[in-house]
Amino acid sequence: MKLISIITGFLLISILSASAQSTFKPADRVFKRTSEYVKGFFDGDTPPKATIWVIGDLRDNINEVINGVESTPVRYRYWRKGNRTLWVLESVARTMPITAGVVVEDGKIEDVSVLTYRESRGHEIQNRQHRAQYYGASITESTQLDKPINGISGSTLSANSMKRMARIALLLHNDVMDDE
Amino acid sequence: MKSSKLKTASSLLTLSMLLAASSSFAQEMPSQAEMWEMIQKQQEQISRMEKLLGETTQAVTQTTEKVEETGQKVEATVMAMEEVLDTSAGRSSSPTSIGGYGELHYNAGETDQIDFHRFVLFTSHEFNDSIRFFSELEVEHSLSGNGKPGEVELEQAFLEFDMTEITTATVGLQLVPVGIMNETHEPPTFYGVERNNVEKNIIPATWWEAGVKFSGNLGETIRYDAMIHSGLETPISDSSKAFDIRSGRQKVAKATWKNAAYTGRLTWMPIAGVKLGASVQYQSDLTQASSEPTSATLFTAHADIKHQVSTKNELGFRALYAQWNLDSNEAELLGKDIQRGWYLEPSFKHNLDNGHAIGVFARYSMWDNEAGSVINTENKQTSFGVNYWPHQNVVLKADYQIDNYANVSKEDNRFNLGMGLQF
Repeated sequence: MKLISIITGFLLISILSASAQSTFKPADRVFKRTSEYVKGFFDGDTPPKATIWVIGDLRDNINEVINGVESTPVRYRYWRKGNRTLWVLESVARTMPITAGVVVEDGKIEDVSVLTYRESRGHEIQNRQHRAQYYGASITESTQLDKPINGISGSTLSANSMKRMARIALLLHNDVMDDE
Repeated sequence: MKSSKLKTASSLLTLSMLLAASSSFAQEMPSQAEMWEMIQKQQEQISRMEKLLGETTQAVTQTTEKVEETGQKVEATVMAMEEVLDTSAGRSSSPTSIGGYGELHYNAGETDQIDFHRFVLFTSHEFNDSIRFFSELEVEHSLSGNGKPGEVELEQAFLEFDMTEITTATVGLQLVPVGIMNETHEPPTFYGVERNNVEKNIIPATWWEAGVKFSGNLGETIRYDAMIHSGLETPISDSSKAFDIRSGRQKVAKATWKNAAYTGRLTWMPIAGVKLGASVQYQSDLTQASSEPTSATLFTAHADIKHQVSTKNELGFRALYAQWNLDSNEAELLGKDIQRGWYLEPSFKHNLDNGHAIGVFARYSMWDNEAGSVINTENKQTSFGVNYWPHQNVVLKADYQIDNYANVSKEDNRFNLGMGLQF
């Protein structure tokens, strides 16, 4: 019985792995490709990529959000059309980074999506109900979100990463708009 | 006549004046030589200016080139710096990541001891986009060896394969998908200095086995786990430990595998912040040696709720029920054919402006490893206390426990203090 179980298990893995290699290239856990995500929020276009340097007050604010959990980047790249900006950010959950897209318009979050998830636990952050909590959220002067976001038990670190990325995207968006 | 003379005189006067003026004008005009000299000087000036303009243009071109070169150097420096930063942060550019957690406990009361309960290092490695390795190596009670209180344990070491966009398979030594704390037990993630006794004695957390697990999503809100793995091997000879679930953990250390075990779990997230889960496990012989097999079934159900009542305040609630049913005459005779427990844990957390947080909790728990017995063998405990997070990954804890055990001599009402961290 035990032997049959083990053999069945390994056979299943081999078959599914082979199937995965042939049907899901280059990778699974890439829930949404960045290019598709960008086009989806700019009427099928891809605006030119812009750069924002993390200097001055912006650096202080982002440092406050990151709070030593990871390094503060030197710059961020983003896409923009009118008052809408789109940010593809990375933040470490437990040991692996989550890649997420955050869309901000007029200082409010339009969308938060997980683009790539690499951790072994915490998949629940992709849940639409969890992500929908961010819609319409803006950032306060104390760099906090102005909407309450329920956490996910067992996915605390992943949920914290998402919250960090949402706050950073809002700070960056506001800085881009203030520079005009 | 007189008039004619006057006219003549007037004409002469005018002529003489014109001649005088013309002579004066002729004297002020430069000569041809002077004009030539002037033109040559102007030409020299123009040449100098042209030269200067040429030099300026060259300088501007050089400056532009230098600016472009500097831009490229800055780009290269920033890219190199980003690579270093990415690596130091354990991000995707480095396929190998490290992390860990640890907790120091002080138990007052009769126990009256201090103990670095756990120090765990985890490493993970991403072979490619669809194959990863995760591991946890733990030192318990600081010191291991012959006669020493602690142990060095390999708590996790498994490969994860992505099968489809929503399905993964894991192979190796891994945590069994049961209860709330068996898989997520980093100190900042739970209330109380010590882990709760229900999951410790009934489930029995932390519980890992070797096997194969498939996990995936069923729609938006439901997740499943199905695992075939090595099982428990409970003692049968020592009556106090016979059929004791926690004593049956083999920890995949030259573990007997005469009987495989099967575990299935469903987790449902109906609304944001609410997580409900239920697991079932079956093993055809829990003792793996008995002439009379003891088949065993574990059932657990739990609710784990985090509700943000405002941007700063969170209400939490955890509830868990777990029960083993052991099917054999031997287990029944000892009253261990039923082993069960449950707990309720409400909590309140307040996030401070500076990123710190403070939370209070209360927990009522009951567990009984001899629930099939006719006598009262229930152990009950009431705990309440506080967690203080100076950082989301660092926690200081204090609690007080009131024991109400079937065996009164084991009661130890006491304060506990703890420090915990994860990174």
